[in-house]
Amino acid sequence: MDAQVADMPASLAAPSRVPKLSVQRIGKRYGKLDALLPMDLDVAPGEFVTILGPSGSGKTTLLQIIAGLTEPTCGRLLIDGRNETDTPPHRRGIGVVFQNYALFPHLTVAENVAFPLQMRRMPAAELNRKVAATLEMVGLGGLQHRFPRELSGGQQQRVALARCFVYQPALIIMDEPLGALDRKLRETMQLEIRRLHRDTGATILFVTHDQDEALALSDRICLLNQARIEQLGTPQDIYERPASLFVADFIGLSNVLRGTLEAGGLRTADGLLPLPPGATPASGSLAALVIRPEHVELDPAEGPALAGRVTETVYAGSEHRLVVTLGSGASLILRRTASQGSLPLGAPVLLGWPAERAQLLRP
Amino acid sequence: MATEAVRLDGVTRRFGAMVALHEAWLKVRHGEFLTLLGPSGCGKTTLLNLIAGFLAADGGEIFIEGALVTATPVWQRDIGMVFQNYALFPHMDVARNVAYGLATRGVNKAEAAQRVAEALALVKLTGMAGRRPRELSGGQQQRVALARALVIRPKVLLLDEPFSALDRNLRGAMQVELKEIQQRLGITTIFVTHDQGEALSMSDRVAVMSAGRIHQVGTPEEVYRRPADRFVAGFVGDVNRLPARLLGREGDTAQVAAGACHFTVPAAPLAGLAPGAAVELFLRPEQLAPAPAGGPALLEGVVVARVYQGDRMELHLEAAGVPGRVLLRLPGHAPGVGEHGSHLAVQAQPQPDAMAFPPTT
Amino acid sequence: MRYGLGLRALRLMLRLLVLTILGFVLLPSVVVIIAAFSDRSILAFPPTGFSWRWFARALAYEDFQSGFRNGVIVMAWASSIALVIGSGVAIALHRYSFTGSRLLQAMLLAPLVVPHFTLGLGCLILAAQLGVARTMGLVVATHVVLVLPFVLRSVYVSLRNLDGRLEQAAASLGAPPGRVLWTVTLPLLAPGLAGGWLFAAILSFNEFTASLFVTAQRTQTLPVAMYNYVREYADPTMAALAAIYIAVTALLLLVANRFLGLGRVLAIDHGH
Repeated sequence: MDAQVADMPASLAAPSRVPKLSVQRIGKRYGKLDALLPMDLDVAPGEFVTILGPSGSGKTTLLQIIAGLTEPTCGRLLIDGRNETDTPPHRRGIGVVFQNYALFPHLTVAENVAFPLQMRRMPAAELNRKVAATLEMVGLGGLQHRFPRELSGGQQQRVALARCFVYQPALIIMDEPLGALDRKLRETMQLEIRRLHRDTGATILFVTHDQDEALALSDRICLLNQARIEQLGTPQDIYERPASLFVADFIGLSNVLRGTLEAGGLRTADGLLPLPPGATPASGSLAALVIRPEHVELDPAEGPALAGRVTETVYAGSEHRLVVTLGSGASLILRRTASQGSLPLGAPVLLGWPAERAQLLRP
Repeated sequence: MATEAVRLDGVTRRFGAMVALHEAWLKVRHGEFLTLLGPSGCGKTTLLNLIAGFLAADGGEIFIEGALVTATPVWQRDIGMVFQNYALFPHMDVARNVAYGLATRGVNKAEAAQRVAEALALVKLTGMAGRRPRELSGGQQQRVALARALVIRPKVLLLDEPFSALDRNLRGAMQVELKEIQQRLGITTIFVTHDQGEALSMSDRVAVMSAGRIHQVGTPEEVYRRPADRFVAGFVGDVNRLPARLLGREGDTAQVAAGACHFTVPAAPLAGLAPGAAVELFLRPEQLAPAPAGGPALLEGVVVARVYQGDRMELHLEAAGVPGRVLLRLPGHAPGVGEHGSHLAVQAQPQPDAMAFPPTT
Repeated sequence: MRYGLGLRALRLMLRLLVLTILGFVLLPSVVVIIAAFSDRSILAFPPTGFSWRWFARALAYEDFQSGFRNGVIVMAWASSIALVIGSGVAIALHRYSFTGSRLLQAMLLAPLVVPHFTLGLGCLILAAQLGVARTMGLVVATHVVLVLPFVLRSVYVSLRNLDGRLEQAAASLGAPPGRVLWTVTLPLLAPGLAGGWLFAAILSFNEFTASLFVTAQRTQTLPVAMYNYVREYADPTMAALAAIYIAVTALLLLVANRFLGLGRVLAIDHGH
């Protein structure tokens, strides 16, 4: 029976339960400073996980530990179930794409891409075929004889991607690879990376401080703050059900109304606000309601309406953002589509939101 | 105050054989927030440096508050300048940095101290006066730079991509703060950026530039909804370019047809084209929506990417006959609509801000 | 540390190699310093006994005293004059590109490649042609030519590292060019200027070859006096003087490092 299973093509076997990467209670201290508190993170084969966080949150430390450039103070690192905590970087089978491309300036595009294959002593015929196919895949067919300095920033980053994808490493780490590109090129390259991920089935660990990039690319986002994991979940989880005020604030725009819990709602300076269904509050404790701007409604059909005045309008082309200041001085942001139009400054408005769209969080 | 705060009359600047700025004509009103928007190399920074006096014009005249300053050296122009890299004096503390422009003007010590304190309060840095620039975060350094430029009460405030070195959340906060300060002081401000979102949200008017020329000067809404040409349409916000046909013209408007849909567009860009001519229809992503089954469709395509952005889902479509991709923005996470690889029929929102331009040859 | 035996062995070998090279570089100095404490009147190594007397003789010897005085005077004048000329030229070269600016640069850097005896001989012949006696002025002038390239380079590198937008910012705040120079440019160049001066001073004080040509008995600098001493005597006085020399120079560098940062003095820039 075992032999039969072994003969089966990998694709037909039951999906592997072994994570591609397993971070187990890994932490890092520098003297008295915790660069990374002990944390766990599993990345499934073929998964695209983004490590997101502000600078100083520990994302670079985590990345360096996984890549083998820094030793953890504690914990274990498994790749394909093998303990690789003590393996030197070049034996971990991890490919890294850097923000500054790190291309070899004295080698042509093709030679750059061939480099990892030569290091693995691949026969010339197979090597040439792979290099050509990979360059084609990243849209650089025909440029193989150029030198890096003759390419644009976006093209250079494609070469860096090709050099990494060409030898099919067990895990690909991308360290803010699009940080140096301007917005439009960045968005194009995001789509490109998504496509490469889908076409190759590679397992990718992507590091960024850009929340839109994280939302756009990831299967899951690992949001770091102050050396620990603040939240780990799908982009939709993180955006719609932030686990803390930090997450709500870091990802997208959000409105926060603070108050004290009591029977029937949250007591704020602007009145008693209804809680989202299913919330089980402890009466008397401080709490905050978080509502995304797109869920704030003008003249709500149901629920309580908060009175305020428009104190600022921001035009964003595809939408208008209004800042409404409430009686207590707290302000709420709401989005209006281009066709709904803006409102004049000073206009009195009534605001509300569907109760189920609010999130109850600890302050 | 009949004259403009800043006026450029046909200002040209060359670097060797390259024309960095070609006959720029521009009037900046008193108290206005005007943004020079364009890709890198479009001449926006050259234009700012010409107004500041860091560069000399090869042709044309520059006026500040009605006075001809084309040949006036920088230090006599009464401008406040904020640089991308802050350019704080590293050998002076915050207070001395801010006081620098007052010292050059011979303001007495007591008054200078008071004005420095006011300026630091304005940028919310009270209590930081004794710090050195290197002890401050990027956002704080840029506040010091802003205070240093404002404390001299310049005739015009010039900002050269001041927030591009800051990370995203901080940039948003600084934008709001600058706008508030600018409105409170009513100071004429010229702001250079390549970020169209920044330009739209902060400016009273935007001058869109490319290849050394000013393409359009208008309010954010004008440049977004009524771009003067293809470049402006494509640079200010995302746009879908769809093949279409000119049906006819009537006064200021023209009718074009694309797919099974008709659109009314401004006629001016289509001058000289005969009915039946091929044109390109420009539609913003938020003006497209999935078409109901059986309804008239603008186009039909295959979804090649779904990009989640929290408050919206962006769908990228490949459609026959459409060069490039078609981009749709749907509110929320749009479950069940336009799964990856599925076919999707698309229609336009009612009364869209459509534009049409002659096709590129 | 956890990367297995091979890597650990490699690291150990690297450390040994560095120590060996360091030892090789320092060995001559160590030999001289040890020899200086010899109790015998012949320069010999290893010494057989311990004595301070050669230090006493070195400090009391009149030619050394006058040589030291001359050396300090020449050093101070030459490096200060070179600093003024070098800074001016460096600023001009950095700020403006004028006809012949490259030629000027090449000429001023030429002493780096021209052997010192050529320079010394040249200055001597020139002085003789012009009828200038072998005065302190001649020694100072020769040393200015010798150290100018080092000062020029040091100031030029500091200028290149100076962000031009700081000067633009100062101008935008109403400062005319002179004020920008005094309040922004020069303060920021100060470490470079000080480093250039110190570098020039050390070079000037140690310079021997060219000085041999242009000095007379009354104007001889310390290295020349030492040379003359060695021609006549072979006792460890020289070694003692050399030891003092090393100690003083090391002290100077330590002070420079404390107040200026050695990296900046030597214009090693680790900035982005």
